Amino acid sequence: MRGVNNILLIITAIAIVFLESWITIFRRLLGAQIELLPTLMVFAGLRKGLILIGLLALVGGLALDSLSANPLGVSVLPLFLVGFLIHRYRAYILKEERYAQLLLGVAACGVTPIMTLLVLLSLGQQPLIGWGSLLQWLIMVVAGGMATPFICGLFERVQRSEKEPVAAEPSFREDREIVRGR
Amino acid sequence: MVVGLIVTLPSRAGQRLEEAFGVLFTPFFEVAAAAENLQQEAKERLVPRSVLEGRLHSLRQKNQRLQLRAQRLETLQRENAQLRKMLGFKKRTEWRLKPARVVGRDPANWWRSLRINLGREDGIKTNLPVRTVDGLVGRISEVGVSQSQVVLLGDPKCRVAGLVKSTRESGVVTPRANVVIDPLEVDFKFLPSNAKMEIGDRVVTSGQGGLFPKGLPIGEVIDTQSVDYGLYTEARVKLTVNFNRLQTVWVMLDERS
Repeated sequence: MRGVNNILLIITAIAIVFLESWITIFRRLLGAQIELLPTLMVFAGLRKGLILIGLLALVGGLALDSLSANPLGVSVLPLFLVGFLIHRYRAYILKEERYAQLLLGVAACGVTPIMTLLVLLSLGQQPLIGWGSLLQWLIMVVAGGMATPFICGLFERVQRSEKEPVAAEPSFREDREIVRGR
Repeated sequence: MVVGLIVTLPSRAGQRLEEAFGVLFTPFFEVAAAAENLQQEAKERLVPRSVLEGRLHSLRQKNQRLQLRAQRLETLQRENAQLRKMLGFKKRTEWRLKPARVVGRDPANWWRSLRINLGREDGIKTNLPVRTVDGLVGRISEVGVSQSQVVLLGDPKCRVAGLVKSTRESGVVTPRANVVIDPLEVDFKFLPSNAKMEIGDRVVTSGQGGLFPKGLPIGEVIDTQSVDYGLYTEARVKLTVNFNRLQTVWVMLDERS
C-alpha cells in the first residue's frame, strides 16, 4: 500500500480542478471561485519530497490551465515555488499544528494567484483585473486558508494508515535461554 | 525549465498537450453529466400528472403559434431573398444552430469562459458565435475533440462591434474596466461624442468585423458618460444573457462551411 498517498494526492489535484470548474455556487454567492491547489502544495511541501512537489505542481498546473483560458503552463511555476519554499523551510515550521497549517494555507493561497497574474502579464496577456479582484483575492485567501488544516489532516491520516505496522517485541530473551549441557 | 519549455511550445504542440490534459477530465465530466441527468429525471418523476398535462397543453399551443409564425417568416424570407437578388445585394450568411450543454466554467477568476460539450467531431471551429434565445453569449475560442471553450462577452478576448438599435450609433463592447465582480456589466466604447441614446436602449451586434451576425441582442444601456475630454461617449451596458445560470447554449454554424 506504500505510495497510495502520492497517487491519491495527484488524483485529488485533478479532482479539485474539475470541481473548481464544475461547481458554480461560490462564484454565484461570493463573486469568486475558490482555489484549492495551493493548499495541496502546502501539504506536499510539509510532508513530501521535491520530486512529488514538482510532479504535483506540473499535473495540477497543467490540468488547471487546460480547463481555463490561461496559456498552458502558467500555473505550474507559482504552485511549484509555493511547495518548494515550504519544503525548504519545513524544519522551522510546526507542521503538526493546525494554526501553522492555516497560516501557511493563507500565505500560499494569497501568493499563488498573484504570481500567476504576474506570469500572465509578463507573457503579454490581459487578464480581467480591477478593484474587485482584491475582494476575490481575499475570498480565495480566507477560504483556502480555512481548507488547509482539513486537507492536511485528511492526507496525514492516509499517510499514517499506509505506514508498515511496527513489529512487536519478541518474547525471546537471551538471558533466560536454557543452555543445554552435555 | 519544464515550464519554460511548455510555455514556449509551438501552438499546435501546446494545443495537443492541452487536449491530452483535457482528456483526464472526461470521466469526471461524464459522471457529472450522469448525475445531473439522474437529478433531472428524479425531479420530473416527482411532478404530478395534472401539471405535466397542463404543461403539454400549453407547449402544444405554443408550438402551433410558432409554426404559423415560421410559415409567415419563410414567405418573408423568400420575398426578401428575391428582392435582394433583384437589387444585386450580397447573399446573407445562413446560420445553422446546434444546441450545446455547458459542462464547466473557467476555474480562474480573471477570465470569463465556459466549456461546452461539442467539439471538433461535431463540426465546431474557432470563432463561431454562441448564443441563447436571450442574446449573444460569446465566441468559440478553443476546440477540443469533444469539448470546446467559449469566451464570454465581457472577457478581454471577446470584443464585439455593437450598435444602439434605436439610433444606430455604433461602438465596441469591451470588458468593464475595474469591475470584475459583476459579470453582467460591460462597457460600450468608442461611440461618437454626439451619440444619441437613452437609458434602456437596446444594444445589438452590428455585424461589422464579420465574426458575429447582425442584430443579435447584447444588452441594455444603463448610463452614459463623456470620456477623453469629450472626444467619445461611453455607455455602461447590462447584458441580456445571465451567464451565472447558463445551462444550454446554441452554437451558430456557418452553412457555407
